[in-house]
Amino acid sequence: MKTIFDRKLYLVGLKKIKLVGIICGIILIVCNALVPVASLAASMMNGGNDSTTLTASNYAVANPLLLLLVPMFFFSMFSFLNHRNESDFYHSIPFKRTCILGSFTAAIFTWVFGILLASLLLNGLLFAVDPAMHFSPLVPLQLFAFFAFVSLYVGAFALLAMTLTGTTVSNCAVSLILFFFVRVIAAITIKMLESLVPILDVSYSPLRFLSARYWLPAAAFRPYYDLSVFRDVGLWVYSAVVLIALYALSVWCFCRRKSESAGKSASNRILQHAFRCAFTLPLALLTVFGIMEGAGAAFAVVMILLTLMVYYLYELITVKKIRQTLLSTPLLLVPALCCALIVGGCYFVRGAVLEQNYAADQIESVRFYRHRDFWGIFDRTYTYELTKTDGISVSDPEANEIIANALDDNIHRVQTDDFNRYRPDYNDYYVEIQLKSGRKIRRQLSILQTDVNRVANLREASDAYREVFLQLPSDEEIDSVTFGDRDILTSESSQNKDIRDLWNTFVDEYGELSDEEKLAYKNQYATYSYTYFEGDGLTAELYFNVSGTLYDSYGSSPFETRYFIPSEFERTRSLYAEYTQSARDEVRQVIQNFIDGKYDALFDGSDKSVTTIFNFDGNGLWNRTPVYPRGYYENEYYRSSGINVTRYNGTASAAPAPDILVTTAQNDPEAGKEFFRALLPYLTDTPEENSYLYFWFLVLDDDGMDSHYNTIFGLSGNMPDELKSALNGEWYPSEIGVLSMTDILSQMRNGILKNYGDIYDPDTLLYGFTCTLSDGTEISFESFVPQNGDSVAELDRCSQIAEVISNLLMPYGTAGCLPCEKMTMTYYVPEISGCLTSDADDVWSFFPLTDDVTEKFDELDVHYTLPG
Amino acid sequence: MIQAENVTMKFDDFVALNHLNCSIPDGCVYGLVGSNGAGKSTFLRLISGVYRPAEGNIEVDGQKVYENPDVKKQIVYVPDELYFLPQSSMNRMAKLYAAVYENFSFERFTHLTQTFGLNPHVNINTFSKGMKRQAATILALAAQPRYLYFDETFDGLDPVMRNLVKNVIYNDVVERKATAIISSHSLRELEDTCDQLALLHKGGIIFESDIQNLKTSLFKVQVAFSDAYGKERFSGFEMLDYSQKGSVATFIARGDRDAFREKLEDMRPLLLDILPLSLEEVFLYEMEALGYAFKDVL
Repeated sequence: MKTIFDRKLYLVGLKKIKLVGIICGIILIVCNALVPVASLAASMMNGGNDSTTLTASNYAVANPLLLLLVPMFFFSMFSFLNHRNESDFYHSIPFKRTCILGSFTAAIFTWVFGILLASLLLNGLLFAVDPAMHFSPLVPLQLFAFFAFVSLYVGAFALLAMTLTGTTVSNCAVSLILFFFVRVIAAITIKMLESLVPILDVSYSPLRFLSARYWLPAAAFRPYYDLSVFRDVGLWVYSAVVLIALYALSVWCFCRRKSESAGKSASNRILQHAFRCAFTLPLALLTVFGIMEGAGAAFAVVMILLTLMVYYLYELITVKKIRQTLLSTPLLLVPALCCALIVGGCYFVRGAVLEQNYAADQIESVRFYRHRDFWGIFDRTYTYELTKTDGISVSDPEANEIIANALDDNIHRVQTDDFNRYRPDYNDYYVEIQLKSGRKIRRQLSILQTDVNRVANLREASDAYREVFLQLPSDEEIDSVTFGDRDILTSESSQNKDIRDLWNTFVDEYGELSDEEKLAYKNQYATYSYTYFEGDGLTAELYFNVSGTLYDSYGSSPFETRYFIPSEFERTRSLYAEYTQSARDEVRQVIQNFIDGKYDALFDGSDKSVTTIFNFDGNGLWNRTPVYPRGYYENEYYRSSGINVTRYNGTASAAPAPDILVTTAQNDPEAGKEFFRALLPYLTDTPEENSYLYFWFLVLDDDGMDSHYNTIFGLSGNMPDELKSALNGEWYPSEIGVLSMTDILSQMRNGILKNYGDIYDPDTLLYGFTCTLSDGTEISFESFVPQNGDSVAELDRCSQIAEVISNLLMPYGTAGCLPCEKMTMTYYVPEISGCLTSDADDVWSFFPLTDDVTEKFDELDVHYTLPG
Repeated sequence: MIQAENVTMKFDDFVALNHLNCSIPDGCVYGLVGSNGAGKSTFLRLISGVYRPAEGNIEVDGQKVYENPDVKKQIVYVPDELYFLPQSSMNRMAKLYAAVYENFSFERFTHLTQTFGLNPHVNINTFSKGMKRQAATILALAAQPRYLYFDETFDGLDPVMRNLVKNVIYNDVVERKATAIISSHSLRELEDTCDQLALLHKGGIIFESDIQNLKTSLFKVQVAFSDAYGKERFSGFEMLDYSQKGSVATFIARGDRDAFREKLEDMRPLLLDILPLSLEEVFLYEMEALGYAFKDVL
């Protein structure tokens, strides 16, 4: 044991970094405590009426600071390697070097883990003190495990840097080099590759391990609300391998390090050259890349000067000798040669990729797959169906022919420098081509949309596709099922079991459907979540929001799907009705109390007086004209879990006379009463005419604790027209009144309703853009593309319009724009057709609104408004 | 016993020690003399296990020193540039030494701090350079190792403290039969302390001897005769240096002093004086005899 650890030396180490430990501890604990303290203060100010579930993302938010603090510990502990006298002392003491390293490293992580633990526990205590917070003891444990590993990982870089260098400046510089060098070089190299070989999808190459996805420090900033980071096996395996390698290398370097290296910028001259060149190489490579991209002479000159400056400055700062700095000049060739090698390598790859042109008869099958964001921290979230069917390939001569032609066309265009991603009628797709030889290649091809649709139709017709498409996510695949704002898996609510029963019933009912019925359901009711469709306008419908993660050899793929519960699912709906029976009774009572002026209704049958508030809503509208007690306001936000939660900040206990302020569109409380009075008789427990009204309401007791209920009422079919009219005119500034979502969708599909407020049809695809002039005037082009029927034709039309407009506007750029003569444009392209995808893209830019633009708008029948 | 065989140590292109051979017996105070850059500190670091020799072997009690905790726990090295924990007191340092050296005695530490009149509670940063040296010496001695290495340890000490340090080291060696190696660029510093002396020059020991033997082996002779004579009259003697002014000849002789006197008296000189040499003079002549210009060596 004395070979790697000594208790006394460990204690010496603990004392050695005591000061750093205390300072870092204070920083982390205070920063982490800010959120709960602020929350507690807010809660106290609001009479304890806040209700928020604590999640990992708002717990110990300052933990990523460890990325900076952990290296500080190493710099402090191993600072003796920078000073000759200290170095001699620690090298002369009767311990093996491995023992010194092991004992001191153990001391560092004792401090780090101690601080982390203390910070997390204190955070937990503060959250626990806050009555508005629900504390989950699992969160700090998970966070501790995660950040402990992150600390070990980051510490490895700092330790290795310390063993290789001998001055504070070089410690820091080399730490940065070790930390970022590979990533930066890989990033630039990949950009080069993407530029030289635009048809290559680098994200599936071995270089993917150098992406942010596999970089643990980046994961420290990931919202780990769903803790998917823990299930990202690739990340952990890669990180563990790197961690072990770094520590092994550190031990090796430390044991061979000469004491006289202290005070020198590097332990030997070769390393000094290597570090200097490494520090310079990214800039040199950027310069070359810029020149390759045609950045111009000025850019080249500036970048070359900058590169030289960094090169010489590094040497000057680290060795502090002008002569030595000048003598390093010949080694400028090293970064230049490295650049040449990298560029040469990229051209080699280009040549190899462009040579891989295959005829249709060489292709076994083709597959469109979703693009993994190479450098982004997140992949986009797709539906379960899309994620699951991602692996389904098409083995069909026609599809092979289409892809072979596209491949040939793309290769030819790249070879002749005629490659253009933005051709009209063409879209970019990621295609995996399985060759008969057994080889598999992945390409990013610009393909005619109609061809893509043909391949898509072929795929959708296959049994394999259908089999997978019709599946519901399994328990193993699901991270979270939410219903309303209740999370089946993580909620501590007493309704937890109820919601799980509800989901299980739904799954059972779905399983009883025939394949055709399942297909119909999936096409109509399994939708993208609100993440991609603005406006949470579906609250009148019952649905499960299901999110989870699928794993394959390339990593994880999160998914999120909203499964609506249509009337065909009788058992599920009646079970829900059963569960919400008490809530409905309460709502009735609340409404009646409101009408009767009994604002202090003894709502729950106890002696406690309660203040009731409720929000009336319907038709899937997230209507902002609720009934609120005075002094209350709502603050809607998205909890990190992705669940839509409504947060109430109220002053119920502070309000001297509990009162309900009815805020209608006309701000008329009496009208509210009148409305409810009229409405009450027509609320039914079972929906008729497929029409619903959705209620949620909050009950606050004297302790400031709240209970949140939601329920759904059916609307009686014999509701008088006057009431419907009142609903239309008085309460909803809408055009359609009380319509079910089905009706809305039907109208949309029939072309009666093209754009309705913020409601986006869950069964259709929004395709279009919105232009906002600088004075606020909006120009919008939006179209809803049904997933069934004529979706392809509609999609084509939208695509064509969007592309034309986009191409039309692009050249104008930002130059010469004057206020009121320019506009911003958001061009939004969501998922297409449920099986093939194109990336959603928000393009914000400024364009002059010139005559040719407006003419084109008119030609395309695009509605817009001119300023003024 | 410390044994260095054919030890070479290089720093990049600079050869600090060049095939050095040395044997230091137990229980002695061994002096290392040499000019700056002669290799004294390098040698001490090598026998402390701080450096690994590029070539050759260094053994203490028959075991290699480098990366050998069993040997190193018997060694305390007090370098030229002292190291104390930041903002620490002697007490704090004593705890560090106690954690590192298992034989560390707080009793002896207390005794020594009292002997030197140092306050162990005070921040060492407030100490003068000499006091810091004393502090380092105290810590080393309190660790009670078998081997004590002091690099330029008398630097910055006033004469009184210098003697005190010397006495303390000497007593420690005597009482515990320890071995002390003291390096200095000044011969006079070591003259009255060491049992053995080695002269390092350009990375090698060019001269090594028992100090008592050194002092008695050479002596200065002044002799005069009534008749005319020359150097050849003393051809039977081993002489290192000879000069003659008129009838008075002065030379440095090596050999048995009494036998020398007897032989010279048989020549019936008018004047005969046999004088002892200072250690520096002995070194001077020995170096010259070896072909070194002493002024270049020290």
